[in-house]
Amino acid sequence: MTALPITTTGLGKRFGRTWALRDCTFEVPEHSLCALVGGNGAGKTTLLRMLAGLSRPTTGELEVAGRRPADDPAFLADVGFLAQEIPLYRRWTAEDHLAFGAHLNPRWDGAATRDRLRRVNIPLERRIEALSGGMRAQVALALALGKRPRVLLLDEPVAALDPLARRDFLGTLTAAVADEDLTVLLSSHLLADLERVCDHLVLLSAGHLHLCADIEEIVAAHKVLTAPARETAALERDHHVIHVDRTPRQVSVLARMGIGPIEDGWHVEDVGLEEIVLAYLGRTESREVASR
Amino acid sequence: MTWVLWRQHRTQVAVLGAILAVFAVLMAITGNQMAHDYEAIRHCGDCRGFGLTRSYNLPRTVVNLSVGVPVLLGVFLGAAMMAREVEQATNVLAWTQSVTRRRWLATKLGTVLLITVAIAGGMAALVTWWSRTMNSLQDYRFEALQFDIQNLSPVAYSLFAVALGFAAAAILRRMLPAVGVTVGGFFAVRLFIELSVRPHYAATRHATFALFAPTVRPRGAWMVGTKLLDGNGDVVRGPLRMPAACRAAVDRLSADQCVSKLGYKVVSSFHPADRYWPFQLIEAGIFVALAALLVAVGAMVVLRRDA
Repeated sequence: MTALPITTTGLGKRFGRTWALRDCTFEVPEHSLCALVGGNGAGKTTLLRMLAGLSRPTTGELEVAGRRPADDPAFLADVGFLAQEIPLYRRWTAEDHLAFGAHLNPRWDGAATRDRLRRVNIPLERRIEALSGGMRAQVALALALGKRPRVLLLDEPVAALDPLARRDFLGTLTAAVADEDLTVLLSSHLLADLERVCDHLVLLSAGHLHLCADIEEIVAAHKVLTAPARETAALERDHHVIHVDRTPRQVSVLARMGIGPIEDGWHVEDVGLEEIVLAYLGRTESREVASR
Repeated sequence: MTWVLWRQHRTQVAVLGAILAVFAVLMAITGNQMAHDYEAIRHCGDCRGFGLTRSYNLPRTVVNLSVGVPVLLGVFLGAAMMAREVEQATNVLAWTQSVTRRRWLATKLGTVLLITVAIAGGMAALVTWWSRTMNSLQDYRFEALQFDIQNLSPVAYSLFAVALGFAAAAILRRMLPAVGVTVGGFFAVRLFIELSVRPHYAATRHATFALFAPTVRPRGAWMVGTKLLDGNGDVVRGPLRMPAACRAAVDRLSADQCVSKLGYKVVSSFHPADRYWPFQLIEAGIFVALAALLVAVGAMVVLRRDA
């Protein structure tokens, strides 16, 4: 059995006196396309950069593709990374970048990479600075996939792209996951996109991990309960209440359902991933406000 | 890795190579002309070199300007090699390929230092070759500016400047501040060594002259300084005030004779010509050592710090 693509234990990173990420323990299962969500400053970039071996954790342990991040060719060959800035050499052509990938990666798959770029109509002879944001993202993704990593880490790669470019980008990504032995951890704010392509979700907020599970399981486990104005104490005993919305007439609760029974009088409804994520993000925000 | 570095630096190499080529052509033409002119007048006794220096003012100025080559290399090779990458985040791209950061850095530093030695070495060789006529006429190559642009020292300065640029960019991560530190730091260190350290590589020799006699410069020597001593052998500071005994002198000539009689004299301190090569080696050694230190510091920062 091969090691899990990503495992972390008590992972933390401090910049000066501020913890960007704290006590983060999770696993990502093999062949998953895992979404990493969280508000601005939640620690997503910090987490991805540590996983890619670009920065070192302050506390805790992590393994990616069965190895601790290190300045070691075997680790580097297994892990692909696409940074938020989509870094490319501006004055080079896409063709130059293909040669760059071929020279620096022993497992480089030139034919597939060229094919991938041709399918999305990237002019290989044009300089990067003359390409659109969507095209640059495709070149950077092709470069990251071309080294054939086991784990691919993407830091908000679609944030700046228009809907069409986004669709093409995610299309390239899902096709790669389907074809190859690849696990992807992808951070983004675009929940609708993530819900469409991802099967797993890691939720960070204010430097802490809140959820890490299969998306279908998450959606199945969370319900919205509504009832005419009443107390929620009994409900909170048996179930994990995430968010309570109270008006004088009605109370609406978003909860992760436990094994206990639900009292009579609650009307139970299914809820979408987007609402669940917003409930988690909103919860930590209101807590922070309360503690100030 | 070699291909990547070639692709990254080929423009710089082309530009620097072109500049060197233009310089080489200028040096070859004027250098040969000057040698030819010198042959024509070398047998005319006291007139040696007279007029020759004047007709070569333009190439001579260009040659003297080569004193700025090291700092240019420090900015365009040293600071640029790190700061450009970090500013465009392409170091993150390079460090997430299958090549270790250590190997990336070692190859990059090796290449850039090699280019530095090639360009600075080529430039120094041309300047040294061009200056051979001037050297044999007046033998000023030990004096401050000429010492800095001929033979070994310009190559060592260049290595130092490039290492300084690299270390500054590695620590500051941005081009403009790194350029500031490179230019400022380079001139500060160069001037400090030249003015306060180089004169003390060995004890100076002294020559004593009568007050109004012409001071003779030993051939090929580096004249470090002259001082005026009074009749008791004490150094006279500031402008010479007329000693009381000579105030009665009626005219300039008799005043001069009176002062000379009191035992005033001029002492010049210098380093003789045979110290040229030891001084070149010491100077080059100091700057190469500083360069090695800066490369080590910069490399440690790049390898240890989070990207």
